[in-house]
Amino acid sequence: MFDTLSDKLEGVFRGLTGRGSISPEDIKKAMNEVERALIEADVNLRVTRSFIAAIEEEAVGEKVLKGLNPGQQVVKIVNDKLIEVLGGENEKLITSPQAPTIIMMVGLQGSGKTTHVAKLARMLRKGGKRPLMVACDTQRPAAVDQLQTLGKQLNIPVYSEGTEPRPPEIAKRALDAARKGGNDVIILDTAGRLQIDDALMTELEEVKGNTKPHEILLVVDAMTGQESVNVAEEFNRRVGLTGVILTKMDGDARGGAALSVRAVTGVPIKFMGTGEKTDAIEPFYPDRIASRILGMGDILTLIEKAQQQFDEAEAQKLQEKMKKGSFDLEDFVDQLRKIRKMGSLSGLLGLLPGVGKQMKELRNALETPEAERELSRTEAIVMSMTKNERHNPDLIDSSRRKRIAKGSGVQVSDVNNLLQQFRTMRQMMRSMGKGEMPNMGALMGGGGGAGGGFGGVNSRKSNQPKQVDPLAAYKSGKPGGPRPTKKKK
Amino acid sequence: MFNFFRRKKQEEAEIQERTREALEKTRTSGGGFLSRLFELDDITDQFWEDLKETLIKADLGYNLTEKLIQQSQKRTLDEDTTRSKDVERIFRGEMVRTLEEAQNKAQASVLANAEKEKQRREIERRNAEMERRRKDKVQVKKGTFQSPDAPPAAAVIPSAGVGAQGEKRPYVIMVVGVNGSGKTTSIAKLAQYYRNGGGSVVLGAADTFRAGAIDQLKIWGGRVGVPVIARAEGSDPASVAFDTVKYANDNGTDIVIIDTAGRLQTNFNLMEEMKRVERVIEKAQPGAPHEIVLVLDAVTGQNGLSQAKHFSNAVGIDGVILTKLDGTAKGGVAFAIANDMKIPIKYIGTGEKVGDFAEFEALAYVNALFEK
Repeated sequence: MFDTLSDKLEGVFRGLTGRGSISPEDIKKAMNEVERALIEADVNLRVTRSFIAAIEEEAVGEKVLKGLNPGQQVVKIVNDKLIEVLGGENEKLITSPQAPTIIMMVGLQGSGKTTHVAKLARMLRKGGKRPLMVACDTQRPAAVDQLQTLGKQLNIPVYSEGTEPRPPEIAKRALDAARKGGNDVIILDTAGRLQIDDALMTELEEVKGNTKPHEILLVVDAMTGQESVNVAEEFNRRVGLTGVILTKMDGDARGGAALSVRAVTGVPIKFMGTGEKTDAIEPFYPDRIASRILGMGDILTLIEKAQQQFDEAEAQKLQEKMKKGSFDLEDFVDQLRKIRKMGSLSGLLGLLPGVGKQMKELRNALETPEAERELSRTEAIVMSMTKNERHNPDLIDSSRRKRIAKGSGVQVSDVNNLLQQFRTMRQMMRSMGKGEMPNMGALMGGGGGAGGGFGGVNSRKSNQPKQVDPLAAYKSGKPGGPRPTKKKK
Repeated sequence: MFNFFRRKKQEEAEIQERTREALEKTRTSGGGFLSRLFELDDITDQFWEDLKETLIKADLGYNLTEKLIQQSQKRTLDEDTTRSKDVERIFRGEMVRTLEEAQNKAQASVLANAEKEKQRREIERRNAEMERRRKDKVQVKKGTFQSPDAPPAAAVIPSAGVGAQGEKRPYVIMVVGVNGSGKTTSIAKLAQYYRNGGGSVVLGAADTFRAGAIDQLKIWGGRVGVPVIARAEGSDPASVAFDTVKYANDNGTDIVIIDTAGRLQTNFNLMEEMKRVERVIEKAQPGAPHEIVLVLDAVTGQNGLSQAKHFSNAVGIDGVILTKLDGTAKGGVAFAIANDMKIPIKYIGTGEKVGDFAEFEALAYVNALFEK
């Protein structure tokens, strides 16, 4: 799952490094694996073939032959080449020096045009523009309503004439409306159409002729398969594209269509849609799509999300602290908070095979009301300590304990318990720091370690938790385990 | 399912014409894309390479493509032939087999479900009977007792059977899929399809998220002439589904079709929401939904497999509606889904009109691909 292409390529090259030379047949085998990876990512076959040809040339070069790890090097070459083809830098939206700037959105049915008209409008307004959205989709039932609803939500004006007039006429009159309304950007929503539907493609040409758009954006679903090439080529031939928006990138599509479209039209991919909300639009990052096409993308995104919770540097610092035994109560409560925030993240991780089961168990464990209460109580106790006390828990004598208990509204015995658990955990961490980390810790860079401590807090009676399993406390008879999901039929 | 239809002659002709028209569109665009390959006398190595390319371009994916080719090559060797006619027959057979395996497996599970439903009804009937006996012994003795499980009048449409009290139960279909796959349009087509068969239909607008989705379904409902049950935008989709099933139960409607919001299969929260809609439908009527169909855009690439897997894990998918086949896309990933997961293609959509719709038939479809 993680680096299937790397693994396969390493398989191809295994045992060759000692030999000192790689035969053309080995390269051929390696290229077959690259081809398969690209096809599985929905890169068009024609694009794949020409891409492979370019890769092969570089791969037979000296570097790979004499390198220590040819498999990894081929992956690197492929990755670099992908970024190169996808366009090195992010290209901005064209704006006309003379207002208004006219943007026309085109694409197949269901690619996400209307939603992205709204997203673009919102983004442009944030940049100080006064956009006008124009409803030229008279085909799909309620498409006009959809745009009007979005306009109301965003408080952005929508120009519409219902579904009776022809779209080229509506677009033309919308220009006048924009001039009167003082709008400096006009975004035309058009009906979804098949690139082979001549009548509708002609209509699109007319809309273009009547409005002379500065920017004609093809909206492409990231899940599109081999057809992306035909679609992009034909739209480009008929109306001349200036850019592409790649939508539904929040799913698990590998997005090979991005490479195909870019390769056949040469038009830059300018944005990607990353969610259903109207603010879910981002500049296009070629490097990210490259790793995604190679099957490492989901992991990258996940790691990034995880890092928002568990900063890598921070995790390292934490591990250092654990080794030295200078892990204090502040770190402790910090980790508790992060684990709490992980709720939605664990859901996301749960969708990956392999990682799934463990994360689901953890999430279920954390979602019980008991766990919630325990967390807040622990947090309250620690927050009632002075900074000095948090860094140096050994300072806390009986009068401090009384004060802390009062401050957090708990019994002195609760404070005692927490401190005892903390000490046990610190000890555990010291030994762990020398030896091996628990499984979860390895995954989340320290989070699991804190999870272990958390488990310790919850099982108040045991002074010497023998398990470092973060779930230990919850597995033992706690309610709220995985909800039995009904399997249909 | 067609066989259950009791239609007037005129209607029958009309439906056949529509189906033929719908298929015609796939023939002109996607159809025949395999035929050119076989326009040679003897099969060469180059032929297999060309075949592989053609299948990959049709989005069948690497694995299924290799499987089909290897099996065909093996059979070709077994039969010791290189004549293109033979190879065409062999390959055509392999494709049909892939699709029919899924179809047959689905059929078997439909039968198993029918059996389960029968048993459930039997228990319900017995309980009801016990109750009735206790209350009204005399009537039973006199022989005036009417078995509530008497077979329903010959079904004109898929029927969920009758309840313990003899009331008609609607057949509930839930339609799911990713954003923009064509759920709402497909629902209008399904509604028209069942209307043509003489059934009464009600639609539930449980896509309460996307702006304009409710209006879109209402417009289609108006065009097709079926009621649409809706609440305000942003309201709870499960409640809408519940209302719709209840409406059908109260009004004796034959078919309930529930529209749901488009959702990406990786969105944990939205997938949970969909599970909840299913649970609430089940609460509104035990045994429902009877059919959950995944709407798949023919232009979808290998991500279709991920869609089928995730939706299947969440709610269990009974079949696929393959939409937008009037374009140049061949929808090959639906073949891969049938091969990998044994989920059959049930219907195909071939345009924006309600009549651009047909029941999927493996043999007819594969034949269309070879048509010259």
